[in-house]
Amino acid sequence: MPPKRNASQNDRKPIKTDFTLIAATLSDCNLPKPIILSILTRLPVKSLHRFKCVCMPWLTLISSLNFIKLHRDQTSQNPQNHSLIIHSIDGDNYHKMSLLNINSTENQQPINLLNPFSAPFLQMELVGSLHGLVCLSCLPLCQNIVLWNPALNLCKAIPPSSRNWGENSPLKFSIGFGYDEMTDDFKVVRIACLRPTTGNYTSGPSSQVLRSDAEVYSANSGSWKRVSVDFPFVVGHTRNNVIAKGVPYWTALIPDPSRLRKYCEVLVWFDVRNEMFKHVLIPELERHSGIGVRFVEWKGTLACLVYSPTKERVDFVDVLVYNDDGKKGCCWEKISTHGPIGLKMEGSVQCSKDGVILAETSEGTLFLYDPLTNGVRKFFIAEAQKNSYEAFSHTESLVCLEGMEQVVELDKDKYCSIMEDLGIN
Amino acid sequence: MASKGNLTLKSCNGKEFIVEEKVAVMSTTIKNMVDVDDSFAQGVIPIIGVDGKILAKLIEYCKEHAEADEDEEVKSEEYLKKFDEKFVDELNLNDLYDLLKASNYLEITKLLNLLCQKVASMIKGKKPEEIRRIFNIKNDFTPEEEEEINRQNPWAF
Repeated sequence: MPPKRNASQNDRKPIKTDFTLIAATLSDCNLPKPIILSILTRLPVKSLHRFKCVCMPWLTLISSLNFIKLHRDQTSQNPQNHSLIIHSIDGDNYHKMSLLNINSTENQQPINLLNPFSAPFLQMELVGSLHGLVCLSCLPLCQNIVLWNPALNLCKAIPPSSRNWGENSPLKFSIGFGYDEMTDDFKVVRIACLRPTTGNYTSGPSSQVLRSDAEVYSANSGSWKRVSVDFPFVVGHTRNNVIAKGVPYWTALIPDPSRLRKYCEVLVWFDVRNEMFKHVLIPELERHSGIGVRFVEWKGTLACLVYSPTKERVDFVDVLVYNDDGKKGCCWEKISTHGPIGLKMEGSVQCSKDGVILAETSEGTLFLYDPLTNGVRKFFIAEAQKNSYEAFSHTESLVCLEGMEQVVELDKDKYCSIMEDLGIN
Repeated sequence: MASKGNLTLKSCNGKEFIVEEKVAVMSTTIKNMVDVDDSFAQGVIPIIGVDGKILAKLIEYCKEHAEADEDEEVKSEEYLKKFDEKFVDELNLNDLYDLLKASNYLEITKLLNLLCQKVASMIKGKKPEEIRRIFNIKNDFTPEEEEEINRQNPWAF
């Protein structure tokens, strides 16, 4: 039986927060289980891992799928945990992954992470981050794909697809990363942009050019399968441009339905649940040189950041969100304009879960811009090359897939010597 | 006897507090009592296991939040955030512990979350043996088992 608290405790003077006193106060009675659970879901991944050896019930709890989900949802709600995962390349072609906490008062500078691609690949790409899992792929074939949990320092190489293209090797590949809430499944989509055909097609010449093929990997099943592509399109980039609500979107070309032009630019998205492609219109903008358009996830919604929206307002940014209310016509709505920022945005622009914008200046300096306060914070990633940045919003989690292994360190010296051995650089 | 729209809450050591109903029903437990049995709304509601000092703290918290829910102009989100921060920072550990249990029993979810967050930030840097002492947990691992768990996650130490 736990010892009873005695009356004299109520007469104690206010006490300072230090460990011996917490122990004295809390130890003489057990807290109800729901409170313990609620406290644990609010702890950082590192602490939870350390606390696995507190006792057997805690080990079982912290390792359980239910807890991992509760913790994940709790973590993503707290702005203190909102980060950006940043990929950059330095002068030696060394790919660096960094993590920048947006709202933390403790860490103002990005933290270096161990890059799970321990082999010297030349073109690594950050595809996206969902529920603490980061997807990386290697160009040009996008066969080497890893899912990586930086907080746990664990990663898993996805088995390569066994698809045999024979002589018709595709022009390029593109990777998308998605998550299906219903089945709690992480999925990776690989789109192959096929070579144009010369045969006779009834649906018009553009469908001979805009040919894609796709397959999807499900982390739950651990295997790839073909996905039907029901309309002609070609994606513009080698990875999804944005992931919103767990759904990957690509800027892409489809045959223009109005037939005024040959092609029309849209956002193609992959319905992660039903495993099929769909598309939405992109906002109509008056384009001028210097305008920047980036698709982002803005506070949980598909959005578009338009920076330098006019020639006169180079340090402003417009936020357009996509309203998916089923109405026809253009569903993009400008919800706000922010600025003057004092700095002109360039390069890869991204935003965090709570709408803090990451951008690069023309000199290659990274900065965070908070539209709420109009505040700007500059920061640096050592040796990173101008225009080499890619970023996605990220929150840490305990999410772990079967077959994940620890990431081992490959430091830069070792990397460079491998590159020299291979005769590269 | 409380006037209309007010409720009387009585702590376990006999202290009575007259509070507005909207403040009292921030507690789901009290709300359910009032909804189910009208006589609670007329008479005195005993709050079992919560003393006068802690009940006063709970009422202070609920009052600010109930008013903010009613009028966002006067008590903005920013104001509430500052209030919450100050509220938890000023608690000594005895009170923090008692408030945790009381807000759990009275189902004042917002406050419970706030307090759990506070405890989490207090313990996040602690060692496992410190955690066992804080929560009065018996180590049921053999030294070998503990070493095995540590071996699996060497980076966590």
